[in-house]
Order: sequence, then C-alpha cells, then structure tokens
Amino acid sequence: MSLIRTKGLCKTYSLGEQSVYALKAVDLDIAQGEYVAIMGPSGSGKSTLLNLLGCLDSPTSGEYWLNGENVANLDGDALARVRNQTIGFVFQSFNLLPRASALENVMLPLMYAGVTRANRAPRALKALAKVGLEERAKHHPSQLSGGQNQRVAIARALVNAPKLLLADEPTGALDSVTGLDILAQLDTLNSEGLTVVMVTHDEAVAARAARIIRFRDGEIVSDQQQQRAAA
Amino acid sequence: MSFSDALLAALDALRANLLRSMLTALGVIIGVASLIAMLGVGNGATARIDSLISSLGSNILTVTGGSSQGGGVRGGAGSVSTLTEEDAKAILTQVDGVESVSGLVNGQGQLVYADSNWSTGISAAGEDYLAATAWVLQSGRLLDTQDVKGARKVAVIGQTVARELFASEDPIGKSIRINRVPVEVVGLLESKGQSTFGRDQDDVVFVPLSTGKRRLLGAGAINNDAVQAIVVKGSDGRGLDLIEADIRTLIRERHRIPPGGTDDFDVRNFAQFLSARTDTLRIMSTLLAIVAGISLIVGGIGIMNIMLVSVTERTREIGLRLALGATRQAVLLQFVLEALLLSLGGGAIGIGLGLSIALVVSQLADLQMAIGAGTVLLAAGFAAATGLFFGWYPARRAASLRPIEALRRD
Repeated sequence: MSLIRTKGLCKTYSLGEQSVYALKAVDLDIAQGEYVAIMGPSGSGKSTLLNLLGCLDSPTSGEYWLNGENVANLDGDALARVRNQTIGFVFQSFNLLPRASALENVMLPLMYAGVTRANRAPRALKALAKVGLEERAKHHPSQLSGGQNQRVAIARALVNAPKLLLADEPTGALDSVTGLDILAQLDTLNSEGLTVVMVTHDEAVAARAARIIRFRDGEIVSDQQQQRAAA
Repeated sequence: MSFSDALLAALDALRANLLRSMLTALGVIIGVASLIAMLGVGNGATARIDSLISSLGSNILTVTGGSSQGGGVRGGAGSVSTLTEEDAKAILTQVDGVESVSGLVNGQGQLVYADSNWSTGISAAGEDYLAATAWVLQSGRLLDTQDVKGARKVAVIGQTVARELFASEDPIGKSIRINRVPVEVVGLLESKGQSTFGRDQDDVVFVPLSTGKRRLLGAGAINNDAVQAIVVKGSDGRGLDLIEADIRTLIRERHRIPPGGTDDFDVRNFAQFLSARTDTLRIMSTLLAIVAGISLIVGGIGIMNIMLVSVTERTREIGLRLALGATRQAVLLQFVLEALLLSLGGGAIGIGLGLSIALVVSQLADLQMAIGAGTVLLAAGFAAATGLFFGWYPARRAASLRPIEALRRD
C-alpha cells in the first residue's frame, strides 16, 4: 500500500502579475517503508514538494493522499493533527527551542498531541534512548554538539511514532563524520520500517537511499531505484 | 495542549526576558496602583466626611448673631448680642417644618474635681440641643426641660473631660466645680472624635442654657435674654433651604431690618458646607481615575508593542510549534496568556503598591483607608481586561502565521 500518493500536485506563487510554477502537476507514489532521496538544483521545486508532503503548505491544485487520507483540502487544525500524528520532521538547522532541555524539546509534540504530563517524560526518554542520548536529557541545545542536537531533533520527530519521516538536508549543517552518524541513524530507522523522504543536494547522501527522484523546473525528470550504498 | 501547558510556556517566555517583562508591566503597575490609591484614599475621605456630616446632626441650621459689622446696626440699636431666646421661640412657633430650636451660649470654664482640674469650653444649650446635634449618651441621662426651666446645676460631659477629671472613675453623680460653682455630672457622652477643623469635639461640658447664662458664664457678659446662636432642627418634611429662607425673613422682621439693610445675623448649614468638600474630593478622585485610566491604556499599548516585537522575534519558534502539530488555538492561547500574565502580574504588583500608597497617605492624613475586596477585584479586572484587549491582536498575528513562512524566516 502506498503511504504517499499525489495526483497532479501543483503549486504556483504569484510574483507581481505573473505566476511562477514551483511545482507542475507532480504524480508521485511512495510505498510504506521506502527510503527516498529527492534531488535537484535550488529552485527545482524539491523543497516545495517537501513542504506539501509535510502538510506545511497547501497545494494550488491536485490531490494528495497520505496514509489513505486525502489531505489536500484539510483545514488548518486537521493539518496540524496530521503533522503531529503522522509526520516527523528533521530540519537542516535542527530547530530546537534553545531555552528548553533536550527532554523538553522531545516532549513538545506529545504536548500538542494531548498526552498527559505524567506520560510525556517516559515516552520522550524512550525516544532519546533510541538515538543514544538518554544521558543528555537535561542538557540544553547550547550544551550539545551539532550531531547531538540533530539526534535530539530525530528523537523529537520519532516520539509520536509517525508513519513518515521528512528530512530537509539533515546533514547540511554537520561535518562529514557527524553527518555519516546521522545517516546511519536514518538507515536504522528505515530498516525498522519507517518511511524516510529526504531532500538533499549531496550525491553521497542521496546514495544511501533506495530510490532517487530528481527534480528540475518543478517537474520530475528521473525516478529510479538504486543499489544502496553501505553504511 | 492543555491550559496549564500554555500557561507554563507563557511563563517561560516571560522569564526569558525578565527585565523586558518588568518594564512592559510598569505601565499597568502604575495604572493599577493609582486606581487602588485613588479608590482607597477617596473612599476613606468620603466616608470620613460622611461621618462628620452625620455627627453634626441631620437637618441642622445654625443661626449666629452679630455678624453685621458696624454697617447696619442703626436699626437694631440697643442690643449687643443680636439674637435672643425670644427669636428662638419665634422660629419654633412661626416657621413651618421646625422640629426643635435651642439657644446656645458658649464660654470658657475651669473645672475642678478632687485634686484634678481642667480648663475647657462650656456650652450652655436648650434641652433639645444634644439630640439635635447627634450626640449619643453613653451613661447617665441627657439634659431635660426641667433642668433648663429650673436652671439646675447639672452637666453632661464629653469623653475628654471625663478622662482628664475622673480618669477611670465613674463620673455620673459626682459633683464638680465649674468656675467655682458646684455642679452635678448627670451624663457622659459617647465620643465624636475630631471635627473637620481638627478640634477635639469631646473636650466639652454641656449645661442647661439658663444655668450657664445665670450661674456659670457670668451674666454680665450678655444680657439675660441674649444667646450667641440658635440651633434649629428641621423636620424631614420640609427642605432646609425653605426653612432657612423663612428664618431669614422672620429674624429680619423681628430685628426691624429695612429692605436692603444688612442682616445682623447669619444662617449656616454646615452639612452643606461639608458636602461641598465632598464634591471637591470627588473631582480629585475623578482626576486620579483619569490618570489611572490613561496609564492603563499606555501600559496596554506597551504590552501590545512588546508582544508584537516578541511575535516577530519568535516567528521561527511559532513556525516550529505549528510544524510539530500546534493548532492555531494553542498558539493563540499561549500568546494571549503571555499578555494576560504581563498585565495581571503588573496588576498584582500595582495592587500591592497602591495599597502601600493608600496606607501611607491614610497614616499621614489620619484617614480611614477604605479598600475592600471589591476594589482589589475591580483593579485586577481592569488589568486583565487591558491584557486581553491589547494582547489579542499580537496573539492573532502569531496564530495566523503560516508554518512554512515562519520556518523559512531567519
């Protein structure tokens, strides 16, 4: 069964009087458990697609089924629920709250999910343990390295047990060794059955994925399965 | 996201910029403090004046003599003190709506009891005077008609006199000397406290008018019939101003003052005079209320300003929260609570500050402070309303951010 299915997904922005097509009628099918890298030069529409897949933005036209639900026309609160329950986000710049500890950052999605306060910490600690950071639960982002911060962000993405992990240049702000560490983490999660969709412009990073979709000018120019590079 | 989660998030954000939060709350602090101080001091002063007015007795007119200075005395030649007991009787019998009248002669006397002595004012008055001027008996009895008719040597004394002469002894039935004349104390009055002018109203001895004039205060000073003042108590049925006008006409007639001539007497309504002071006070209170209102508005604008800055600064945070599943209501709640906490926190500090100010002022001015729970609730309500009103727009702005825009911004 496909986790992601889009039909004629379009996104246009109006710049003054003319409209710019960021995405032109994209048809996409991603099955549960896939590991997909989306590549393309900047302005090719890959980030726009990621925002639409992540329900952070609404398409101008087209259909989008996520986990069997048509989410293209949902209202703001329903989209918030989808983002909270079905999707985990990993950003290039981590996007952790600087004044909150690692544990508090990971508990944030649980709070919006309506989990009672007593149940949040154990679940967040479990997610931190999964990325090997349960010892650092009380540390603040400024007290952690870049790689550790990204692992906290991954723990935050995982804490609500999502179906889909969306990663936007997850290694972009890290040195190559730390980057490999994060990629290994994503490999592990994928091998456990989590669907991973990642935007990158780094061929070496994309090589970890089982499928590469290349974009240019808002259109898919290639979509191929590949032999995954070893960790 | 529960209410307590939003509250914690709001508190956390305020703590992050503690100095800024304090400064932002300052406007509300000042507004609420002046509101509280205004209500406290204003109510206290009004209550005090009210009690003073009631201590004067209600519906009281005081007719005093001899206020015409030199000018119009030709027609009334022959009398030194212009008012007489006959005038008093005429007022009682000829003016409508008069309940009672009392002649009044004031003098000074030296009191002696055993080995203590005390110099004080002696008021010689008719039997209705004490009741009309709202004196309350603590023990013994008031002066009666028989006392006045028979010029009995009896006296009713105030608390200060009792304390100075008798200390803890019961004064009733004791004989004291007033200007060397033995007089029996028959009544002790309850305290009235200070007058508006700071005079101790309890430092007083009341004796029958006849006794005072003939035996105690020296008859030579004034002729037998003269009184210094006539205290008139009006009945509730007729307005005091009508009675006052009638009294003027009557006394002018009796004193044969020609039309256009100057009165050789004066009619005063002290309660009215005090009410005028209440009006002055009310104007002051209104001014303070306006100051309070303006600083609450300024404080509110300050909160709005800082909240707008805060929303802009935290655009990324808001975007992240939205991405992680925060609903618009959750964001709205968090920011409204922030504004509300600012204004309520400022309100709480302001209430404390206002209470202290009111306390200090009431100590200095010897006023009863009158701040009830209602006043405090009112102030807190105003603070909360300010926070809600001025916090709503910035919070709406935060909640209407699109997650994608918010996340993209640096």
